[in-house]
Amino acid sequence: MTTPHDAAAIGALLRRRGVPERPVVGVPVSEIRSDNFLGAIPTLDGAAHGTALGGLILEWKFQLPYHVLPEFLQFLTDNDLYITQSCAKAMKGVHYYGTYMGAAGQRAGFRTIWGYDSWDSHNEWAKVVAGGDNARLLEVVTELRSYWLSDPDSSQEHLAYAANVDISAHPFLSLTVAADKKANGK
Amino acid sequence: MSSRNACYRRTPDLRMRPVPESGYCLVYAPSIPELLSVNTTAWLVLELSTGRDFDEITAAFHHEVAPLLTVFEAREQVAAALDDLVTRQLVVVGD
Repeated sequence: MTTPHDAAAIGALLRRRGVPERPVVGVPVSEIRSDNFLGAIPTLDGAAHGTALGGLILEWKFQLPYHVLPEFLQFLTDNDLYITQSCAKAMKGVHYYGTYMGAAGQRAGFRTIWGYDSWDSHNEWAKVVAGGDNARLLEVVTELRSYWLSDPDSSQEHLAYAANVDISAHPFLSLTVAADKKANGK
Repeated sequence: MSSRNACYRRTPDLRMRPVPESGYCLVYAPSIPELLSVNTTAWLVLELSTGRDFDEITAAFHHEVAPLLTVFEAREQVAAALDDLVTRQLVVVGD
């Protein structure tokens, strides 16, 4: 599907969806797809402590035009450590592990790495969004997010620490493994 | 909603990320700052807010959706969308 950029294209998209719905302007709701959803986040124990980033990692992937590069790198220089330390102070179970730039072969591609102790830890952001003492952190993370948002092909992905995933604790994953075994005569 | 003679214009520096396959657009205004989602109806009204007044937006909106909506229904939807868009500071009202 091409990306609509003008009223005529958006109108065509609207008509394609039938009678227009009532207008809605709101905060987006995250979608979690159940076909590969690990509800129980592995805990880090034993050797994982001190080596793994966390039980749950969130990776933002995005690319920026080169003319934005100096500005963005300066933004990171000014704020990266601040975000790490402020997140640790303002929230429980939310960790910022920095933003990384493609070092070989990529264009101006970036990955921002977050760590969460659990799915519920995502709700800790409510403390930041509320502002107050966290207003500066809110402003800085919002700006970081705006760079991600500026790339129409940006994406994000949650990853669980694989070594401690208990397949039996995840019904649909168990189902998928069973289906694949059956399909392959295992 | 503001006066019918008022003009509506998108807030400067809006950053928009269309998600056409799901029928919405993510919108971010650095000055707010909050990431918002607008459905296709509100998205079209937002796109039409280029300094037009209410009647001009309604006419352009109706042009895109007729005959799925009557003019009256189109006016209702545009009014509701503009209320939300102005409240959320995605559209500013001028004279």
